[in-house]
Amino acid sequence: MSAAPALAPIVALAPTGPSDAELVERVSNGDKWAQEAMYRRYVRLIASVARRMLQPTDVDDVVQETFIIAFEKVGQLVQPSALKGWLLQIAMSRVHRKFRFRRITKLFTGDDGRACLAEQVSAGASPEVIAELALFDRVLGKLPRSVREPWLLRNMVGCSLEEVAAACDCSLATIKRRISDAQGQIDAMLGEGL
Amino acid sequence: MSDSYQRFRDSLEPGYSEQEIRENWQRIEDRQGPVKVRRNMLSLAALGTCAVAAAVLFFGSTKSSSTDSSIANLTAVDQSISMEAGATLSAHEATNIALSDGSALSLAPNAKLNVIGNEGSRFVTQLQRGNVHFNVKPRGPRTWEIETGIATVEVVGTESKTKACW
Repeated sequence: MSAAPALAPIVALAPTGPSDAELVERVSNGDKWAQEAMYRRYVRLIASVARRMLQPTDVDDVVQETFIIAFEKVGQLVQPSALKGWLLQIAMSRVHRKFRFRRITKLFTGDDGRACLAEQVSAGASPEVIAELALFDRVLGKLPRSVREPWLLRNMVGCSLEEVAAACDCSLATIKRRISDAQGQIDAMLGEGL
Repeated sequence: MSDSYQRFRDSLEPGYSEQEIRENWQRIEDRQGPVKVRRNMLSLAALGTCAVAAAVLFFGSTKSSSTDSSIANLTAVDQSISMEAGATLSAHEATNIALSDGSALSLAPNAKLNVIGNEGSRFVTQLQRGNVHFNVKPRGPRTWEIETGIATVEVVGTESKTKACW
């Protein structure tokens, strides 16, 4: 290594990575690095949402479209700190678009495009967990989308109630009621052995 | 949060692997702004086969000139050190890393450097912690971007010492 004298140190003052509000501002100014940082901060969450809702073939489309739309429309985000909920909302709108498309193709393929939880287990999952997830798949298939999606976001993705409300574009009270409805129906169906 | 479902979440595959994250970012970059392009292409198609053929030739030549695949990704001389995107370089003691293009990194004790992108003509790092001395070969084939909190340093060929205060 060269022994040439070093330049003055460059010191950055941020105690942590850029906040969501900073990222939003930078992305709206066309900063490519901020786009990538925003993507890397939230891509796992968005992919997780898409995976729990849709079949694997549709997941990449939803992820890519979510971020492309977000980068285009980030200037319209009124409250930059609400970025996470806003991204979830965009992702859910893309998920619904896929479901609309699948409703048409279902006539030919018989497939509604819904995810199968039991097929998403990681390598070390126990047979009991796989069996229980398969039961959930059967029960969830009988629930209307309006209650199934909040339940999945809350329990299988791990979103907070506030995030689920933002994703579904509903009030917190509505989301609590829908999740509770879904849980009641699931418990009842599991209690009846389906 | 009531977490009787935590064990199910733990058993499900995560949203994306690091490789999927990189691949999808590449596709997003490729697709950015494509909606207008696609609409324009549809309009062009109406002009006839000749116009389409011309457009294909045009886009083909643009693409081949804009993506220089001849530049190999940056690697460490010591093959055991990964410089791929997603890799993390950290050192408990002062460490020198010689790189394939003649550049070198010198990590101070406890420094931590994340590799964000390594795509031939572009090398992007994020200095998460500590001090790193960058000795970048002048007039090299790639631009270096070093993210340090709210500042991004672009280096063409120089020597600098960078400190992170995240």
